Amino acid sequence: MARARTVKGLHRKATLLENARAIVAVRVAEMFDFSYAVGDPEHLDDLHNMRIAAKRLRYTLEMFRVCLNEDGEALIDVVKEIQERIGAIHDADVLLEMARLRLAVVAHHRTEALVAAAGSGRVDERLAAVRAVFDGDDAQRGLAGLLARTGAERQSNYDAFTAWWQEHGGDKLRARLDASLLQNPAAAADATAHQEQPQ
Amino acid sequence: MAAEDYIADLTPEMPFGDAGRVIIYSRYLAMWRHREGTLSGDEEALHDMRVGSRRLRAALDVFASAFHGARYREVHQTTAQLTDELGQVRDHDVMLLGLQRYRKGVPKEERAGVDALTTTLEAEREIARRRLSRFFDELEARGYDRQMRHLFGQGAEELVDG
Repeated sequence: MARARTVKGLHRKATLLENARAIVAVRVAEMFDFSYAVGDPEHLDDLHNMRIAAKRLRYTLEMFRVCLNEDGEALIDVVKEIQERIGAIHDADVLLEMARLRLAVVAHHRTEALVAAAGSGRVDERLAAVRAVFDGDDAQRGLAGLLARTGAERQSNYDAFTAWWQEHGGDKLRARLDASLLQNPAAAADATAHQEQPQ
Repeated sequence: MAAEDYIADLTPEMPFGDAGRVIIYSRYLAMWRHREGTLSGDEEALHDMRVGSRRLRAALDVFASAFHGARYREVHQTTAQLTDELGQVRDHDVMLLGLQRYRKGVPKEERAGVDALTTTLEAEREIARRRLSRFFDELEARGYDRQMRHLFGQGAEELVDG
């Protein structure tokens, strides 16, 4: 998992807005540095890292909400959508891996049961025992079904996110994020006066 | 915007150090209020506490450059551990909920496989829950709550660099 980058050049006595500018810039760069992985199945680890970076960026934008311009709320929603879309792909990957492992364990147990069934008694008894193993609860069928359905849904989510990124992500989103903070103290004072409060 | 997400008393022009204290303390209180529910086994409370701990961790990451004392590093590290422990349980809760929903929609002959995976996940979740419970005891022993209030609560300005 990619660690949060340290933001250099922050000053404790400087205003929140001045430092927020530097912090948001680093968090935006973190996310976009992994964006090359979108649509490239060879780089799933970095797609996962992009999700972590998106989450970090989202929490940073939420934390500095008071310093954001009028596009801020919409940008928080977009970053949240990135996080959730990649999250759905990641969750499916985790479930698929668990299902594969479980399938291997079940297959191993069944093999052992079949070998044991075929290993003793008269030939008709052995064959009956083998049939009984095949007729028993078949966890393999359910696990393979889970792999099939989850795998297909995951692919669909992956393709949808790749298309979504082409339309909503990329350079246009980066430009909006780079310009997401208030420009000057006057705007900051105005924003404070009009800050939205929760219902 | 959710009420928990709102941070009062924050302005763009306030000094970064002061803002850090306000943000961290606000995030801390928003997380800690879910402690009792989490300890009692409420899955929603655990989810809220996990989200709260992530927000707190993000704030502690951001303000590490402003408050660079040993006590800050300690609560920063403890918060990161708490996030991880909560995550271990929550990830299993989410997967189990997903499997429950999935099971309802599949043919009967496929349910044994889903049940086999569910059994494994439930056993793992139980281990994660016990670890989390032990970690809460550890938080108590480390005086985490007292430290957070001491470092970032009202009147703590002179202590944050400690």
